[in-house]
Amino acid sequence: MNGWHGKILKVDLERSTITTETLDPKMAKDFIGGRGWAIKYLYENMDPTADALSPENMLIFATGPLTSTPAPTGNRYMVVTKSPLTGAVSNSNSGGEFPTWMKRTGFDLFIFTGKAPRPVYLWVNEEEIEIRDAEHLWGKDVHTSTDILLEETEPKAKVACIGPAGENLALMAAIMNDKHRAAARSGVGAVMGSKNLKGVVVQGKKKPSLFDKEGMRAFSREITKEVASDVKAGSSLHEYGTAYVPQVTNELGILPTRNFQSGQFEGVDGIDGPTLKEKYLIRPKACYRCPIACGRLTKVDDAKYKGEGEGPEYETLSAIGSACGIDNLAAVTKANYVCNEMGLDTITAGMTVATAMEMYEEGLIPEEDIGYPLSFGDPDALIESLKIMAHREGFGHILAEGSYRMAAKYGHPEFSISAKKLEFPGYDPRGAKGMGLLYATSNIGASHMAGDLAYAEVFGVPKKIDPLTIKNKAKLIKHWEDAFAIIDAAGLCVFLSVRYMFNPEIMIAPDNLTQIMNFTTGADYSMESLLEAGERIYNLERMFLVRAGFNKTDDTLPPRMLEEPMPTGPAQGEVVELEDMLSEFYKLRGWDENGIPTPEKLNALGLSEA
Amino acid sequence: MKITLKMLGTYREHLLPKGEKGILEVDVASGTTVGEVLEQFDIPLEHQSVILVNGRTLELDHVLNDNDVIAAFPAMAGG
Repeated sequence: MNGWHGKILKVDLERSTITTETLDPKMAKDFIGGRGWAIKYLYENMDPTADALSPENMLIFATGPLTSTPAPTGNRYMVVTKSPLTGAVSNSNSGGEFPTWMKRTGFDLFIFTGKAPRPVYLWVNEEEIEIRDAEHLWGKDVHTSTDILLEETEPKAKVACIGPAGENLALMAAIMNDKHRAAARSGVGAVMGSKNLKGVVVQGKKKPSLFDKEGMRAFSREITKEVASDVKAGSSLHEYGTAYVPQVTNELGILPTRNFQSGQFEGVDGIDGPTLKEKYLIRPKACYRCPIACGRLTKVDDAKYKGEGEGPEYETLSAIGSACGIDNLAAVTKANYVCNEMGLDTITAGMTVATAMEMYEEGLIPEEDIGYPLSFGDPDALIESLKIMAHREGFGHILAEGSYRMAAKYGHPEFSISAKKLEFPGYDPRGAKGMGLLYATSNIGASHMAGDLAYAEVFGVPKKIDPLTIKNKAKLIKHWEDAFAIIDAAGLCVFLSVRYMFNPEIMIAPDNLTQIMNFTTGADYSMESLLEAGERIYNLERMFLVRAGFNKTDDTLPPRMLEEPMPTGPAQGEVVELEDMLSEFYKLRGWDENGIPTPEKLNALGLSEA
Repeated sequence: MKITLKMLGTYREHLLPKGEKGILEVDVASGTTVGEVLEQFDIPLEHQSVILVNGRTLELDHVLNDNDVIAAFPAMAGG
């Protein structure tokens, strides 16, 4: 096989056994790789109603056919499992260096089943594969654990591991790789913790073979040249990282402010990219071989918030900054470091604190339960809350359950700004209607990564569309969800793919991506067959949700988005007209009115047995 | 009449040296369009820019009103 190794590593943690499996080429092509292969395995081998933190759950690390190839940004992996936060499927994406090194072990996927009797880590150096004791690492933060794991294995190896948050089964625990990068969303780190799996260390030299090496090289050179010319002309992503975004979303009136009570933050200048660059940036940091380099290596000298690490990115500035009413960038950056060291998803962690702040101010969560005042704008209360969340100490037990369970415990679930119990990312959908439909329908809950129409509604990529209309949004979201499934399955980064590999004239048809997939795999994809594969992946994930008990009633948004008009700014007076978009969306998807894929649709996608 | 220009991301540099922090207040004649103002500051008007007036997506031939805020930034994958 080309692009794909066609080999899967299966680790039974209960019995401490390791087996390998080769892959049927037809299944490889039909499900692309990464997120696609992983849902196929998950769907066929586990009961979707199983408790996500029980040994019956499977945890899958998945690279794609373009991971570790010359494809620009071909360096992503996905973590796929059942989420303990949402009860739905989880597919969390990360870059850095780990994904390329994982692929170079000679395996495309690692599948973990069962639960180890004691803490362990997995060491994979091509054929040298060992489950090793990790008792001495339990309780240690991500940075310390990573350093020790590299000392014990090979200094040039790469590590993905959990911190205290994952060990303590905090439902927003991330799996951190290369210390600072996160497969963050929907509690994948808690699943790893529930399996007593502290870390995965990878090393290898097995690059995947390419079907058409020359074609691939020439094509990748062209794209890289295009990116380089954009960077030279002044790329905001390169210059400021995603930290340039708060000013943009604030201008559109959709920057989450004080738990999404409004969409414009008076302190936005304090948490934006130019401030970050001026005060704390050491240098931009690229994922392996990425020409964009949107990551930020930063250092804070301020005595109170001293630290060094990576971030913050936009989502962190939004969830930990404006959503908590905090305009102190030193504190937000420090809070980001704490999340990275503890292994927390900054979005759900920040948004859970934001919800707690609003409920505290409303008198719905008493101070004696929390142990300290927790008002909007208090950076020290925020940082303390993140620490107790990760360790499940005191009120941290309640915070560690995420905003929905916390708000429901106090009798007011409507204060949780989440969909399928996953907290919103940094775009208030009252001013970006397509994002509202995306949050409501995404298979993993409110994620921007499931089909980020903000690119078009907010950022003008591949072209600018009106964010306030619902016209055409159902069709676009259907199309983008399928397209993002392709990107995730292929092992690429969305930043590059949407801008350089999709056709703006016909809104996101993957014409360049089809070519690069064929240069890599030789699998003779047409644009249609690739889009169908994306749709196949999306529908199989949906069937996992259906079998887990989800239906139309779960495809919804909090009352604040549906009933409370945006109070100020350019989106003033707007709510999300979800019902209108949703019924159109179901029809376009070929689902019945309850949101269940019809037998005809499943047959057409080759999923009749689902 | 007075309008405010707000240049975001790397477009901040288009307003230097007068418009520090990417913000500049300018006088324009009544009847001036969004496109005419942006041309004066060399802001690309084609698909490579996102242009907003008072936070809303409007056409370049939109005629400006007193106190309007024009924001522009390079179209680029986001957060």
